[in-house]
Amino acid sequence: MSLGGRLAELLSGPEPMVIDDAGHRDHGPRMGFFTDTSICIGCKACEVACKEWNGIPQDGQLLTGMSYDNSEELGADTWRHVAFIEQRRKVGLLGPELSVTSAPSPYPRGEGVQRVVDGQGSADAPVQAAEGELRWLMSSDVCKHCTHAACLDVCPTGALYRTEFGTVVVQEDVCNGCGYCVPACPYGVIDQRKDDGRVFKCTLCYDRLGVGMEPACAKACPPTRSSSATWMSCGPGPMSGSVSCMARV
Amino acid sequence: MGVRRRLDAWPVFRQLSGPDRLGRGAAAESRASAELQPRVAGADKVVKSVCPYCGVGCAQNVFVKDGKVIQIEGDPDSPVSRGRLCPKGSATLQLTTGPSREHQVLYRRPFAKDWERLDLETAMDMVAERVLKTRAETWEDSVDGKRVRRTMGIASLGGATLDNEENYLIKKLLTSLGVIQIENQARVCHSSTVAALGTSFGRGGSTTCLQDLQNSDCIVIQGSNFAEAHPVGFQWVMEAKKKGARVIHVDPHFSRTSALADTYVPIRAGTDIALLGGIIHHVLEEEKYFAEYVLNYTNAAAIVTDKFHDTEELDGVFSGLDREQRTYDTTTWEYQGAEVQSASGERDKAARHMDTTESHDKGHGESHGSGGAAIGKGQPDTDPSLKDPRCVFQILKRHYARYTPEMVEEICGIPQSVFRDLCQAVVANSGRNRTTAFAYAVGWTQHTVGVQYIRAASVLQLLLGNIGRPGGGIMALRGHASIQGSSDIPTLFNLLPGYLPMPYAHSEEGLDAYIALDSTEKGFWAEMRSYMVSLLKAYWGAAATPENEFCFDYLPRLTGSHGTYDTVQEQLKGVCKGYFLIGENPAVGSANTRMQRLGMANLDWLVVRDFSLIESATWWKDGPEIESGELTSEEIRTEVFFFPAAAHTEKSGSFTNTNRMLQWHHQAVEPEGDARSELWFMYHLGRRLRELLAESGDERDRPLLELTWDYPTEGEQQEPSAEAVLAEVNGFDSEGKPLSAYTELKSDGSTACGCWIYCGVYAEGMNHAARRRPAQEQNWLGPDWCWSWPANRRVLYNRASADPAGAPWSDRKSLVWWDSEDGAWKGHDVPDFPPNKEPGFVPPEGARGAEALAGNDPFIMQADGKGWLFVPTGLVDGPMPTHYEPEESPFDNRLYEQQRNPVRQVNPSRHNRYQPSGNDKGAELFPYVTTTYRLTEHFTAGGMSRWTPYLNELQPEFFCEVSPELARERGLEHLGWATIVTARSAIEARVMVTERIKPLRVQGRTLHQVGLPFHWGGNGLSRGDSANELTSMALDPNVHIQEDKAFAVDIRAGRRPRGPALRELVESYARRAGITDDTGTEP
Repeated sequence: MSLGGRLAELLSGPEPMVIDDAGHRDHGPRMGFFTDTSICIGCKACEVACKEWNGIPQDGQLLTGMSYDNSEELGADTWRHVAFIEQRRKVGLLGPELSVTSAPSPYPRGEGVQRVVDGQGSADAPVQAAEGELRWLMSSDVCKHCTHAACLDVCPTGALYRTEFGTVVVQEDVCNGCGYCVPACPYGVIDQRKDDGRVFKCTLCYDRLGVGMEPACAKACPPTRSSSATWMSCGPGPMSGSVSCMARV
Repeated sequence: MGVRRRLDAWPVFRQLSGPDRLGRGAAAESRASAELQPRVAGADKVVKSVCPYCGVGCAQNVFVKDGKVIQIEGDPDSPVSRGRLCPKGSATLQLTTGPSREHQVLYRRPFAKDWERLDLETAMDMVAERVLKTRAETWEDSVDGKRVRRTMGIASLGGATLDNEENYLIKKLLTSLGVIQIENQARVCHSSTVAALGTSFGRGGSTTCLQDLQNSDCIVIQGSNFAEAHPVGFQWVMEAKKKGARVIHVDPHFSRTSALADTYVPIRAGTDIALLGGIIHHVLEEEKYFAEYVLNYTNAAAIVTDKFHDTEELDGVFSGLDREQRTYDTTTWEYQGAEVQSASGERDKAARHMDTTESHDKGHGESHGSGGAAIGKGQPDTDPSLKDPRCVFQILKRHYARYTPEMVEEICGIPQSVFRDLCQAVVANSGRNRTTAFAYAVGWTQHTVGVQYIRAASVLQLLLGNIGRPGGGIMALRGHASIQGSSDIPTLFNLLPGYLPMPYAHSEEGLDAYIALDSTEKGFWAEMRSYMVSLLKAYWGAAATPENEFCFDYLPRLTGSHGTYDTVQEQLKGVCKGYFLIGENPAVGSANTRMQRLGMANLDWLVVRDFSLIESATWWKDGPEIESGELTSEEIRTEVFFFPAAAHTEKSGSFTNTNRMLQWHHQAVEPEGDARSELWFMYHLGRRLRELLAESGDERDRPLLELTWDYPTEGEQQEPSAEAVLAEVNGFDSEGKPLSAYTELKSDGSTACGCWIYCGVYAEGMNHAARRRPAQEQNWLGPDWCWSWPANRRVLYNRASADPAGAPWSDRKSLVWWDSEDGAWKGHDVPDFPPNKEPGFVPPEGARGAEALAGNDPFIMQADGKGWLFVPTGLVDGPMPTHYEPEESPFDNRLYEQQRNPVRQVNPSRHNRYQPSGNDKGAELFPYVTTTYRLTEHFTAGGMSRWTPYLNELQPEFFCEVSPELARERGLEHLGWATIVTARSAIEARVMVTERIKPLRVQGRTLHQVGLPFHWGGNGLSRGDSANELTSMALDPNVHIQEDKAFAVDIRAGRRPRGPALRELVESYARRAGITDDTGTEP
């Protein structure tokens, strides 16, 4: 590959040698998270296991009303976040827009439900047709440890750096709290801790990876198969885990 | 070198000289990053433990450094949890080491407004004094001329969160003191399970294990929020789903379980028997049952006496009903040919008619936890053609004839198309090649017909041939770490260890009569005398001799129901004066919490042992009655002791999980401050009491003084050896040698055994509960991981996995089989059958016990060796499940004139009023159906979750879930407040408007349901009203469990009133609805 091509890879597009290009020699495979939303049960074990391992402070008790999501978003004190979406969509083989396979729901719903008066229900509630099935989607979100990580690119101090696992980590002994990385992240992952000033985010349990342990969230995740098998494998199999950590290819 | 090192420490130099030219990687690495080590890397030791929350029993590794626990993680070697932990399990580090735990004994003087401190030893002395004083004041030698030797003045509640060894000491010590009101969470959670599964199959535990669910072709989850309440166990449902199984969730509220199911079926809370009855009807009418299984392994062919009349003939009740006494004469349900006719039978009949409360208990269904109900002498007449109109099969057909799809739709609100789909799913996935499993929890158990809910599933699973087979069974999901254990080694009033019944007061009260009353002629329950004598030897050692009937007389006697709800009434009456709360929080978790607190406010003394200051410890200073002005601290005389408890990491012992598996957790660190284990508390309390009474010549003190109570202690805190207790539980012979199996137990006093079903857990002096052979090295059942009762069997009744000739029903579903060459049963599991009894064996005339089991009798604890479609004896409210409406329902019973279970246990009181139902006047004021449930992020009554910061931020407030339609109807705003009202109280909750709650069409009108998570109370980091303020004490008559999974409410916008206005609101509803103390109490 031409020098120009290599340079371009360092700055954008596919970057197959991200760890080598960060100056690490004799490294192992690149690590990343694989999150299978299809089997996530929304239990939030990943959130708690992350907080327990990393000693992250509790960051407030607010009933948000956003389904069962009271963590709201990723931030300095929320490195794992499980989102809950309650969704009524017409689902069918032809896709959401073409809901011809969606059977009419046999359940009453919608307007026209009338009051129960004197213990006698009124003849009421026309059954609405073709309303679609209710889905409750759960998805555990986390830092992506981007190949081209904007937070890292804008960090003026070298606090953010790429590790020998290809992950992006804040070095708390270097960070001076300038906060440039906060607006740089396109996913809203990294943020400043108010009473501290410095920024914090998921490290992919850098300390644990160093001794061959999987990240705390992936270790806890209930619906997964034994993650020791999938963790080092080179690709996610179907249903291999809701939250697991594995080498990226 | 020094210069070079200094240069290398300079990132810019590294960037310029090394390969990281952009300075975003290796060059930027700081020294801290380079030297980073995980904190567990420096751990001094890793201690094997078990999660203390739900009944899944996830294995944990506890990392210890410098005498402190520094991390707790899942143990990947466990065949059940495979290293996983849910959010609660992941928060156990914070639970056990966080600042919310109390480490100081606290004391509240009578009439005081606040706590004061007390040192541990003084507090222990004071409690010992109180126990003796109250015992002396309330001692009863006899009641109505019958010997009882007991005290009703003291009660104890709690045990499901404790170790088996702790429950053993609680029961042993308190029983020797004459205390009978010993109860735990098992009463309010799963007592129905024991009676239902016990009478159906012979044992009261889950018939299968979690990891075997992966072999299911269809899993019906009903009455359980599996994914939320048992998240790690749910991985096996996901495994099955991945292999192609169909997962169906039937539940009033759409939970995280529903979200993961293939099919979600909303149902009106309280109507599951109608649905299951509908499926049974479908299976029978369409002839979809597994004929060979049904004929050989169930009692389908048995003939029932002609005295029996069904609900079909009597408009919703069975023969033998005495409406006045609210009891059934169950002799009308018996088998023909095996009627109760022996001498013991006469006694049984006499006992049955003794008095109302006692006859409520005469079925004592829970005593069939490991031994089926006795059927009298002989074996029943049978008709193998199944054509006789009085054979069980035909009776069943007639009984369910009216449970049609139309009826299911009318009652449950399940459209016929959905119902038919459900029927087809379970039928298509049952038979030789396929198996369906049912999984349930307290959504089934907590009803006035709770036992019959589970019986309905038992009947269905027997018809489909799904019991004892891989991927089949009925998974009873237990919700506490050792709630199975606290049933097995019961802290329950009506049981002794191993489901031996507590004796009742009779005029004729010897050991012989006691054994004759309950043991069977056939199967292993015929050896009940050996189990009982060995228990008495474990309790009283050398003092127990054949001459004194092994001290059988030392056991205090029951005279009726003494369950936890009865205890509350005894407290209000002033009979019960002292109360131990040991890891249970009834001020939040039991039904009618207001009445619970009023009961406690009438005590002389209360001992609370817990981690934090739960509501049951502080109601006298900040409870709801203080806020409403009903009570003031200065007028409450109850003396309160708070003892901080030790956590699971701070003591050794075993939990029995939902798989009936005993798992040992080792002590990692000593508890700090005054925190101590229950083992310590009970042992040292007993030691003190024995010292105080050492000189006593009083006959009533002999059971305590002669009790074997010499456990070795360890360490500075003098912690008793849990392993020594386990060794006693396991049992030993006359030379002290550990026993290996309950078949070694003798009735001559030469063996001692604290819990016969646990015999073998300490075989060869080795702690089998501590075995940790990794799952990866063994089959899916994990036989070498810990130890399951009975005899380390993982799937019960597995003889039924083979056909009558002993061959697996199909290759795909093989589990155990007969090896004719070796003349033995072989397989993947320990065979649940006499190991060398050939399949074609026909017992000789006059054989008894195990010898009397035929080769095709897979239910070896049953009196006839068969699974019971029809329960001829053992239950008090019917031989077959019948749909009745809940105690409170907006609907009339569509099936029969009989509205409610006619023999349900009601406790009329001004504090416990019931509402009118159906078309009765006043019912319209409570038009909505409510159910309560758990959230993943919290635990039961909150004692172990509401003080944990990481869990509270995830679910920070009490809320109610309502549909958008109901919100519109009642003007409820999302995130606003709602007030929910019953005849007991009114509570407020934040409103969660969600489409997950679906209005249903029931009996031609729209029904709205309200969902209430029940975890909150007034203390802790997140607070809210308790859902159980609303619930009533309406109980299942078999097991005295409350109905809090289906009741009627009103809901209105806005917050509830404060102060005296709260009671005024409740009273105004009562006035308008015409509610009196007698409303809803008719049979």
